[in-house]
Amino acid sequence: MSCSTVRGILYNYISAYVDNELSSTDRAAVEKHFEICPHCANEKFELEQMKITLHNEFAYSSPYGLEEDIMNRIAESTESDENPENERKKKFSWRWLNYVLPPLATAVAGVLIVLALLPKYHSRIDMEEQIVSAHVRSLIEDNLTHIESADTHQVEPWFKGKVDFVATAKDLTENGYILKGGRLDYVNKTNAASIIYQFQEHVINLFIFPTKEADMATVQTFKNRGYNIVKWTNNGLEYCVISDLNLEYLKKFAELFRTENSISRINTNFNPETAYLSGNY
Amino acid sequence: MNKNLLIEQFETKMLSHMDSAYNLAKWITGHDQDAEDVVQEAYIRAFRGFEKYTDINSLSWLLTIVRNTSYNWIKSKHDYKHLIEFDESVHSASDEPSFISERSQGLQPDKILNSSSNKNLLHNALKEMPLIFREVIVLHEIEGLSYKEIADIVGIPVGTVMSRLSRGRRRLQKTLSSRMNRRSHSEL
Repeated sequence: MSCSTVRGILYNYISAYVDNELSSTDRAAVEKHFEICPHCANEKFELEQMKITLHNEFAYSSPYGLEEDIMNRIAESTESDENPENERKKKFSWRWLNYVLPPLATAVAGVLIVLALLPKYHSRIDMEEQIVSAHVRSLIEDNLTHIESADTHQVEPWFKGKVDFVATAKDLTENGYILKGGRLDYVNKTNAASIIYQFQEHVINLFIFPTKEADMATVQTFKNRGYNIVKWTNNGLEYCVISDLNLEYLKKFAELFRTENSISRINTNFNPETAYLSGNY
Repeated sequence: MNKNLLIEQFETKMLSHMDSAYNLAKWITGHDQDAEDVVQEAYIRAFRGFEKYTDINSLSWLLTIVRNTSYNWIKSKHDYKHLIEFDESVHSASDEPSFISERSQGLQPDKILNSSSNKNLLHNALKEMPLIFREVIVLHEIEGLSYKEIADIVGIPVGTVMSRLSRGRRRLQKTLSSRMNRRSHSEL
């Protein structure tokens, strides 16, 4: 191996040699070359000298107090993370969704409402369709609750002045049905109250709206687009429960809701104040 | 994970690398205050990712963050493009091995680095080196990282680490020799 012709490449090998980064074969070959080439042997020696100096003399140490400054800043940043104001800022990167989803959801809702208002949708089947659509819409819009509360005494009065009947919410927490809140919706050509519950991961929408149908002694069940629907009427109001929860648990919910002691009745002379007072509030 | 526990683990695992982090930042930015700011920023970024990356080589990981933060820092402060990017055509000729010709000028290698003034010369030579060489030399010679670790941090193949180190050393030697010669001439 002549170092005058392959010097550039050989230099890399000498450099890697002093770094101890050569394979044993290459290492042996380079060592052999050192024996016959004083230039390269000397080069190796020079690199080793430089290596020692660089390693021993040129390291900067971090200044005193930097460690403390850093841990203080980290502690501050974790505290500010817990502050909801900053939580919003931190999640800013997801906020583009806020600009994309509402127009999309509005478009979807608009289309659904137009469909809902078409005359041919006024039959009973279409009623189910509307319930399913309203349910799906509430999930799509990420606008499930207009009032978010697990307290019936906050959810019920919220509907005051928004619907012309008293909407009832019941606390069924101990049975696993967690009250999430309420939402104003529109089904059957009228304002409907939706009471939202959650059972494990399943969202339950309970739609309440006026009806002319007579009271029912038992509940009716339907299945539409994979959703289970349980409905009953009572005192001029129709109750429609819908969820992807299995039918057994949904019926249990309906039974609990029906039997739980509470009054809800239509307020024919609609007046927000009296509607509010005539509830079980 | 519990916040306090996380902070505790972070302290144990990451604070021991503070000198390495500072050293790299100082060599890249060239200034004490910039290096401090970079290290602070890098540690805060590391803390944000710490939970996800607890199982990896913590030194390499931290130095990768320090390096990126340093680069962003100098980019935001100045137009340092000419320092960061390296034009092969301009520099490759000067990287040809020079030891034979330099040696003929009578430098004795074993004496080169023994005096403190010569150490200063070497220090300045490294400081003024193009960043792409400087960073691999700092990572390898000062921090003692392997070629593989450097390849991961800088994001280049191992073979490139080897040639950059080799060329960087050649440049260092060359700069050093010429400066020592210049000095000995002026002393005469």
